[in-house]
Amino acid sequence: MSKLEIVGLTKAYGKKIANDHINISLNCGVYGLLGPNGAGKTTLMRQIVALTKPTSGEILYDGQKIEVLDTKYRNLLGYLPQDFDAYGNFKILEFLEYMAALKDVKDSKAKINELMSLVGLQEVKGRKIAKLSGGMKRRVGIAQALLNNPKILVLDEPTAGLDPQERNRFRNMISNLGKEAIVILSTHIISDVEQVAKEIIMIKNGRVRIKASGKELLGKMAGKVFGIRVKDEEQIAEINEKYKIVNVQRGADYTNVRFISHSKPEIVDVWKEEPMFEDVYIEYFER
Amino acid sequence: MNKLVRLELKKAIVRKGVLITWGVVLFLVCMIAGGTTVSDSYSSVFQKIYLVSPLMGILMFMIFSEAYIMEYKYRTDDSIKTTKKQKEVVIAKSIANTIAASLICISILAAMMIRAASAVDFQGLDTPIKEIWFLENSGSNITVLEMAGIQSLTFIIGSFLFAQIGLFLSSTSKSAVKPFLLGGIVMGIPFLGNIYGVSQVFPLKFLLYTPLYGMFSSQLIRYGAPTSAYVFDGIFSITIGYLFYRFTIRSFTRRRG
Ligand SMILES: Nc1ncnc2c1ncn2[C@@H]1O[C@H](COP(=O)(O)OP(=O)(O)O)[C@@H](O)[C@H]1O
Ligand SMILES: [Mg+2]
Repeated sequence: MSKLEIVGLTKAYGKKIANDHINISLNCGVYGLLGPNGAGKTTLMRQIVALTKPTSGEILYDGQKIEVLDTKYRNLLGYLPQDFDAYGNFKILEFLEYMAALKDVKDSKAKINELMSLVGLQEVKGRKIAKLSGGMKRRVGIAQALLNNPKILVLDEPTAGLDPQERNRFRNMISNLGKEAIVILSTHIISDVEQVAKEIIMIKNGRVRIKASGKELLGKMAGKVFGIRVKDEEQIAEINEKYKIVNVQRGADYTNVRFISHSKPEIVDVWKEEPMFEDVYIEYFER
Repeated sequence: MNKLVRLELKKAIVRKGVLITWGVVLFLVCMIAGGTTVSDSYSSVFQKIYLVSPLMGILMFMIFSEAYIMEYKYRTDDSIKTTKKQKEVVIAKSIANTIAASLICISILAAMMIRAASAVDFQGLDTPIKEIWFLENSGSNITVLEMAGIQSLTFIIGSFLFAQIGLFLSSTSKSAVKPFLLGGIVMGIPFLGNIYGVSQVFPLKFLLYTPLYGMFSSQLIRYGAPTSAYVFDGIFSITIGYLFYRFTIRSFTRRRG
């Protein structure tokens, strides 16, 4: 079974350390790379697809350095860049033909046709790329990434610009792809990955904070999430001082605050809450 | 490879600016070609084809300078560079841009030839060029039509060289302006030397050994250039073109730091 290992990977832009000694090992399945803007997700992905050179550390595929594998490695790659775009005067079909030629896809017509249906672009395949909406462009980008049946699929914010319906379709598609390939997708929206990802890699300030399954992440939050009905705004401020607030729910005649505390809070009338992914996000990314 | 070249050709040519400029240039050169006698009419073609070389240069470098800038602009360079055939894109662009430039040059020559021929009722295409005044010093027996053929052939060689230079400049620049201007200078220097007759700076003997003259074989023939000039220009164009092509592969496929 194929395996991608990232060993001590560091990428510095001048003084800015965009990736800081990242060590992770990936095999078949969907991985969610989750982190706020500027966390270093794109930087990591660009190194995985061999577009950028690491400052130090290395990336191994089945034990071999990816820059040594060179063409053989690129042959296995599918990549959706974060700000994917394509030639405005090309039709969708033409652009995919072009990419299929670059990827040496056999029977490209059939493959393109299949992908058009998969991403739901069948009706607009003759349309010029300049005339597409953001979500449609994104789907063209996903289709081109899939042309060569990649063994390593790297999608940088694939759901950006997709509407809820498109997101749903995308999630179904991705969990299928994860059966046979290493799929890495980045997002800053946890609901994109909480259901489909085998593991979630949480990254902030260039460091991997934690890499675990959704279940494990929720497990770690057990007993740490609380709720309280507050009397006034002052009390909210107090809680905010001591704990991490997840959200504030304002009803008609009450206000509930959900917050995280690593030990039992020293406030009366709190109750325990069942952990949710929103709590995980706040725990690892806030403050 | 075929498909890649075809689609690269579309990227190069099917652009509003290029098509309009091309159309205007074809119209202009038709205006200036032709004469009342066979000698005058065909002389005008071979004399003026060289004078319109700056227009060819503008069109050519309009195309070349955008070739890689376009990829950077649309960020398709990332998509391309993560595929197996990233190097083939450079080859495909080299071929497609050589074809595009050749089409431009040859279409301009063809337009002038057709105009000149129609001015004299399509007579005299088989006249030896020593009998038309512009090329009479050549003393050559090749016909007007053959001369046009040779001219087309050297246009292709010149297009190859200038395409490789233009593509390299485009691959290393952030905007299309620099490669466009630099390209203009590359094509323009020997031309300026010739126009203002700065013969002390650019004696004809040297001009014969420049790629621009190599491209305009009608000039070489007019001045009765020695065989060495043809050989030199040919080898020079192909070697330098190939070198720039190698540089382009390196600059385009390099992993950024
Ligand atoms: N080419 C670059 N030059 C300088 N700084 C960069 C460059 N690319 C990214 N950075 C910096 O590295 C950090 C991580 O960026 P990025 O990987 O794009 O984050 P993310 O994709 O998680 O939003 C940011 O602070 C960003 O400003
Ligand atoms: Mg990013």
